[in-house]
Amino acid sequence: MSTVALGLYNVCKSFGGLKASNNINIEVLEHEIYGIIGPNGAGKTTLFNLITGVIAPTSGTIRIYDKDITNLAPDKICGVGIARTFQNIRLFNAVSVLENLMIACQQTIHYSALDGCLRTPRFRREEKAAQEKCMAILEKFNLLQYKDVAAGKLPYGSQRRVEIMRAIMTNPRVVLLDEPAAGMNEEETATLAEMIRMLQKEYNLTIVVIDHHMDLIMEICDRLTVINFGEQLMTGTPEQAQSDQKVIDAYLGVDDE
Amino acid sequence: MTYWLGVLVQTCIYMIAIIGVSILSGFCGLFTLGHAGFMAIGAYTSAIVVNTFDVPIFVGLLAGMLLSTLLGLLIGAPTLRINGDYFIIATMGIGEAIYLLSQYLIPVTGGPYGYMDFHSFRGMEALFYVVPILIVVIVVTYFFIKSKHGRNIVALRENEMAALTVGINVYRYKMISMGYSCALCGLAGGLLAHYMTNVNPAMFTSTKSNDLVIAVVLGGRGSLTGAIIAAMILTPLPELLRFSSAQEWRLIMYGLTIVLVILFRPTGLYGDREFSISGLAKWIKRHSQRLMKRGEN
Repeated sequence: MSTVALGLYNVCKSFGGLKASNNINIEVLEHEIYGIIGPNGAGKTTLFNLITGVIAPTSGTIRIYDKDITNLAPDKICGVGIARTFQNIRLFNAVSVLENLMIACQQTIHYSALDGCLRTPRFRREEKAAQEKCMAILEKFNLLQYKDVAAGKLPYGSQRRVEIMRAIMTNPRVVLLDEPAAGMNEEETATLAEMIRMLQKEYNLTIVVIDHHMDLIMEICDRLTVINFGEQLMTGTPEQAQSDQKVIDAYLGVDDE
Repeated sequence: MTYWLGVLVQTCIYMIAIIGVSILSGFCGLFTLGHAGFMAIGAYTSAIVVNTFDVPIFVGLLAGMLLSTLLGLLIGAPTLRINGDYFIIATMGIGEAIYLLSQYLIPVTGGPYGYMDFHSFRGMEALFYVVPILIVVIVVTYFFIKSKHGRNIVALRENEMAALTVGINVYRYKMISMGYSCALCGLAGGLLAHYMTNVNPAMFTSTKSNDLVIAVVLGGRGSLTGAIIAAMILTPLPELLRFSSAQEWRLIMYGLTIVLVILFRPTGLYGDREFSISGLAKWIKRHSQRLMKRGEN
């Protein structure tokens, strides 16, 4: 039995009378690629917002490895080792791609404001290390030629990749990808699937993916959870999900007769 | 000749204040409508400290910087925690409050006539203070914005949510920008006091606060070069327009200049870029190529 990297236990979130998440129990194992699927408005992104501390759960516990992160502030949660991307891309648009990544390195850079203002040897050393790290990942993602371009001016697909790179640069243990394949065609989705697998291996990550592209989810996920209207419908392998009657009903609707 | 040297000294002083406001409004994206108030704090503090304790001017300047920073952080502590426009309203309030206090707190500030008869710069002495201080301010600020801390400040201007998810303590960096800008405005205020030999409330009205933000917007939000250029144009502009027949029209011309820049360069004179030698070389190369092509046709 391997360790649980991310655990949600009896997590509930209500917005007034609406139950966006109702009693969700998920255990993501270390180094797993885990899928969260469900129809529109099922509460998938809400789940990510709960994990990253953007909203606080009404009840329940969220753990990463042994640490309880239930009521931690979002910037502290990053320090624990969770990184995420957003459904609607959120980059630092006006600054260059390289600088977007350098900003994400900020947790691993420890020099003080005074070091920065005076350009001490410590500043030079840490700045150089961070820059090398960013250049290496840019090369891996084939985006080196765009390093000085403002992130907001990149084509859509590249912006998604920059966002994923930025997440990796925070040195996470668990990465949450919110609809990484949104707006991509089949070919691009296939490349993305390959990339997610490569990242998982290269950086020893645990990855949680939300997406509508069933072929992506079915291909890369070891296990998945299906949710609908905030309720957890089933948890299991992709094959189990495809044959589960409740899941089929949620996606295709139930015959009234 | 001394008149123009005076204009030069004032330009340098206002440049320091504009660079300060540029950190807060240009880089961090928090607009302020009261930073002349922090200049006033620096000015009165420095003048009073130098006069009362008979210490060298730079001690007074440091005291002014310190008090202005502390007050800025005090205002920022509650207002920077909440999102929305509360911060800008608070800065407006504090600017106005300081202006009124300086007018009515006569035993301390001397009221509308101003605070005077304190140790000031004699003649050229002002330049020997102002120019080195300005150079240090420019270099340190440039290093600051090109460091991790400067990048974090820009990150929260660009996208606060994304800044949070890469682990940036948004509140802390807003406070740092506020502190930095108040320190520089306090310093500028102190220098202005010792140059003018008199501190009075009329020097720090809300119009002055607006001028500071206008300069930042004109220069380009998020460009130190832009802030410097804007200060070089805007501070002497009313003085240049003072001569010839432009006399009565000078404020209108001032306004017109601003409207023209906003119409034709909405991102500000320098956008969010910085001046660099390599950038200049590229620019010259590109434009000379274009000229050559035109010549061939």
